[in-house]
Amino acid sequence: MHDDRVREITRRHLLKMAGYGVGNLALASMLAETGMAMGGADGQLHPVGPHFAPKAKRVVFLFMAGAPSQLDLFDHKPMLNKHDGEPCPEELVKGERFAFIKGTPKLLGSPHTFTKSGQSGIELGDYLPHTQKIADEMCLVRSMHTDQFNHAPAQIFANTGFQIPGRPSMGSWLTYGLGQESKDLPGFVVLVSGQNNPDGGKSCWGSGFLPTQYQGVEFRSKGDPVLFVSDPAGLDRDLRRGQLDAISALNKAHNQLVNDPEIDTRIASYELAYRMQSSVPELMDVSKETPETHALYGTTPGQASFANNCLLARRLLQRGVRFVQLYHWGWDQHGDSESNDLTHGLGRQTQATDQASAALVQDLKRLGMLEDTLVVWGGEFGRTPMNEGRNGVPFKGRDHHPRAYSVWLAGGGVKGGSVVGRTDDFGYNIVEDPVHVHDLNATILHLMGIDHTKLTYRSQGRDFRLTDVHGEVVSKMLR
Amino acid sequence: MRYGVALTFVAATVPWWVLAAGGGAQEKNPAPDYTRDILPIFKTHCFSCHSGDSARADLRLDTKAGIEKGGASGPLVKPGDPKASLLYRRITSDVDGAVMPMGFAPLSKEKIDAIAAWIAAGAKLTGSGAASKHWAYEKPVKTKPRVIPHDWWAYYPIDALTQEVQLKHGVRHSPWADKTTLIRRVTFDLTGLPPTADEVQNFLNDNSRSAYEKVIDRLLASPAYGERMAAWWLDLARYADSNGYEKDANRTMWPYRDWVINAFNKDMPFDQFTVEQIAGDLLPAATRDQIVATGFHRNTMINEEGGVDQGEQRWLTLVDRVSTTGTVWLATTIGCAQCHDHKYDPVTNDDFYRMLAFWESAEEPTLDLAPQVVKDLRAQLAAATGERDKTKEKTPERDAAQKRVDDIYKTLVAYPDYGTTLVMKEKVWETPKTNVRIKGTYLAVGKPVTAETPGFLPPRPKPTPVNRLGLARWLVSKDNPLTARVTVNRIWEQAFGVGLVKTSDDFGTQGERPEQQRLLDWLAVTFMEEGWSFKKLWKWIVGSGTYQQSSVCSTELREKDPENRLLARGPRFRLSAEAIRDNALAVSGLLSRKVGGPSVMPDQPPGVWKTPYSGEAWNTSQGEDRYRRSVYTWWKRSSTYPAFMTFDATSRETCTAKRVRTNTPLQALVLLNDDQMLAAAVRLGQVMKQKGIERGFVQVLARQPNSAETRALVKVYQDAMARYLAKPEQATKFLGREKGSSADPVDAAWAVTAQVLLNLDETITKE
Repeated sequence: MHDDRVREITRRHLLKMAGYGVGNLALASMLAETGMAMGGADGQLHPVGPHFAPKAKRVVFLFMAGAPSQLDLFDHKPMLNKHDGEPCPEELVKGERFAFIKGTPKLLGSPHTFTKSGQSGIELGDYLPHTQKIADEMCLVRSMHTDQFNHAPAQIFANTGFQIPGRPSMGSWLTYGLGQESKDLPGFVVLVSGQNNPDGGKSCWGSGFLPTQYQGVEFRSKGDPVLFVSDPAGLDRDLRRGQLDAISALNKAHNQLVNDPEIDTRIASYELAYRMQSSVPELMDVSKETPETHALYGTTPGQASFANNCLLARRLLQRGVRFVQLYHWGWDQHGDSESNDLTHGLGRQTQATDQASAALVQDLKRLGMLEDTLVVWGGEFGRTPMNEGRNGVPFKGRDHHPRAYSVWLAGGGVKGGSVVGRTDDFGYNIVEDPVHVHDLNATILHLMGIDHTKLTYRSQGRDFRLTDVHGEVVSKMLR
Repeated sequence: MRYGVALTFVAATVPWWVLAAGGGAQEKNPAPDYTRDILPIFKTHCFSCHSGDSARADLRLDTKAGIEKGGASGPLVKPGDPKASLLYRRITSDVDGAVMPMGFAPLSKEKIDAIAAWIAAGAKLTGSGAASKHWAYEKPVKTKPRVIPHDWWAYYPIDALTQEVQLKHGVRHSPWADKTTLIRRVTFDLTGLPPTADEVQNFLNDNSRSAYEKVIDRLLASPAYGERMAAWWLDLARYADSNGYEKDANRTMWPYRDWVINAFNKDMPFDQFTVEQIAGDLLPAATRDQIVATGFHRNTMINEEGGVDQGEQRWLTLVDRVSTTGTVWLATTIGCAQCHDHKYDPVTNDDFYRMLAFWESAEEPTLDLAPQVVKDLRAQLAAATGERDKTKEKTPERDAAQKRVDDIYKTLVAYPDYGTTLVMKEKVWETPKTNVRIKGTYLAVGKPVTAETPGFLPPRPKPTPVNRLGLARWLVSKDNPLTARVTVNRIWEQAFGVGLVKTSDDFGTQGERPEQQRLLDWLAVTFMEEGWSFKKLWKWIVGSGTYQQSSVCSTELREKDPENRLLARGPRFRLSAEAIRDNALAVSGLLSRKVGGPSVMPDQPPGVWKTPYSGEAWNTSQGEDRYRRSVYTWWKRSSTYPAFMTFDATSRETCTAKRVRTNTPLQALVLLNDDQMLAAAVRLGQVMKQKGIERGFVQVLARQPNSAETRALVKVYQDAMARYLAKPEQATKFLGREKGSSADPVDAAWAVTAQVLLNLDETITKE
């Protein structure tokens, strides 16, 4: 009797189910049938996406925490090399705030060479030999800019549209808006590599004021892949199954008495948890991937690395996870020491990420998934055209630069082999097609079939959205 | 049966037989009035795009000039002719593109008709304004409940008031909850803990009329009450044990947390509680405790990244203090006025900076709480160490100095950790001032303003000084229409899961207008009249018949009222993150009842805490500190205790006025596999081994199992027993994590059975 009580399940409970298992599209029709509509926190009516046919069904965002140097990887500036060591023109730095630079800084040419890559001839740094191979798949945006110039606020800003922690992240918004495809995995998964967590911490994938079921679930390379997913030692699967059957039976019997649909949801949650307990280890085990695949990514089964995370990302996407986000920390090449300069430090970063990033795009293409999978690669801001020279050290390195940086996108709906935006001869300011963080985020939502101005959630009397009150879709990026 | 609570003042102050004055006759089809009828529609449906400097299509509906001028598509209205007016056409058809409001549901017929009638009547931008004052800005008035003759339910003001609304909707209250449900419910609400089996039995045995009241009084007198209330308040206070952002370094702030616990346990009146936290340092002859209380606004985050602009960082903390004060006491989003006048509420841009100025003149020192004797010992230790280090060679002098160092150290470590804590201290005794920041941008310095309270609320009571103390006195002035309402609503929300105003974090025009306003106001006024006492407030609420109803709900009632807004049944909802953990530890007998002191680090999976540029680590606490109440768990902002986050706790980076409640698979995984939960299961298994399944069941659920329930648990036990007898090494593994547990298959089988009990929906739910 209680099993077929679907009709009396309230709108609120349907919304909760939306987080796990039931896509909102399906949900929308269920709600339409029952005369209910999607609602926000206060029961206010909001249509929730997709608002139009999406170009991409899933996103993998390779977030390069620490801010990679665009001037040494993506935005070639011969003029910088020509004027290397000269004081930076006064008109550029007058009144500017820098994180570390003091006094009048000196221009710094890149120690690296660049190559026109692919048929499109996009110029890319030679520290990215593998990325050069996917030049024709990518839309390189050289005119990104942001409002923040310190790591934590800038990372939180890039991910949530606001510099102070507490707003929902992009993955949370998308899961909230589009629901979830996978029956036994979360809709928003985060994988972290590099020496540390990103500076912005877990706020980068938090759900803010959205219900916590929309927050990114971290899949870890060491220990339990998902916190608490493993049964305790000495408790085998049959015993666990027996426990769950008893829990379910007792919950059902109790619900005969108290009649609360929340109990139905709880029973379903336990079943999903049980399924996750097998699906997650299966997912994390990459040992059955072919040697060719491992060669492509540069992966070794069982290793904790960015490359392994790229391969896991592909496996997650294949299993219907909507938003996968990788964080790789360590791109903060200030040149404050030799190991953190533009050769050693940057080289370490590119060696860890270049091959696997490109491999992910190539692999998705090989599997026919690139068409409707959006790949995004980038950090939280750029780096200065001037040498930082903190405390007079002789090493080459760059300070934080929010005025111009580069990101690239590939796949689902993106115009491959294209470049958007241009910076000036020193790479200091943008001179063509500026793309703000809000514009990039609006575009990502657009590719997912969502109008960024309409995906809203009411909190404290106001409708919030990822792009605050800003953001324009960048049509030049679209195919 | 009904459990009465003797509340003498109620009889004294509420002549319950007096009928409330009837409402005035409703006017029929009043002429549309811009301020009363049209502006609210614009506010709710149009302002999010068409207001402010960045208004879409250059159309501003938030100024009269904007409405007169129209937007990019031309004039908005043709007075007298709705059909020819762009406004009317855009909300009724899509001839010019999307129907407005774009992307949202169309306006209701009533609203469209009102706009049409307003245009037809000339689209005058004037209004009487009489009906336009927002309900929450009027002082609450205590009205007398309407009483139905011979209705014994309405004996109690709260019940009479809820019944008024219920009758309007054609529903009736539910029967009483049974005694076991009631004692479990009220024990969770007042202490955050479950009742013990003995407490349940005593209540069942007590057939006196005052049985329930005795329980309430006992619970309110328990130190656990203060801990439970603190767990609630610390979300609002954004209390944490770390600084936040990238480095997220640890901070010592627990003395403030202990101050909160003590204040609740002493039942410090809420007005005093407010004054001490906002301005304790400014009180005459401020005590150390009153200074510790000012830690409330030192709970702001600190970004210690190398490249930050220190001035801007400090400014951000002031911005946070304004927003937090607005949310906590006024449920008003003052923070929205940082960049521009508030779009919906009457908070101006200047109001924001006048509020901010109150904190401009405060210094932010660290207070050392060690007594003088400890400070003296520290000084002696430093001197002796200096003496010792004068020479590196081993000399008799050095040996003597070393002995002195050792002796002093020994004496010193015998003292407890008194801690330090972050506090406020007023710097200058002149009117605090600041500069407006243009569009809220730190570097865009605008005109100077002096500290003052927002203009849309009654003025600061005179005489009060123009400083934080004046601000605090204003917040809790009896003329302030918001503070008491906001506060009683929060406690109601704790008890019932939803506030009387559902938007407990927003009493502005975008918030919910409460249908139960008479009840809200009755509670608010009584709360003030009775000395702002939380313990009394709780007693009125949990003593009401409304609270004592059964939460069992008919399908019909649930369809009509899914969220229990009509209060025609008792509350039933999942416990908070803290209460879920505390419950498991308590029912199994693991919970330490040690009150106060430095925060502790109970088991969490390895590798969770990994912060850039920080050598700090999660060092799992030993002994009873592993099992302290959750309010003492180390709150790391960038990496909050994972089991709490899974159950909807927040990182406390900023003020949280309302936690959402979710129901997810990850919660199942915590309850099934978290080490702390397993430890509780092992211990609870021992109870059942010694005293039987029924005893375990009663300890967990405060009620006897029925035979089907017992059978189900016996089957789990037998299956587990069979398996562990066949594979005893598995039992060793299963129990091995809990040192001291013997690896007997019987123990393992009981632990497996206990896990089932700890995972029931009923176990983590207040029924």
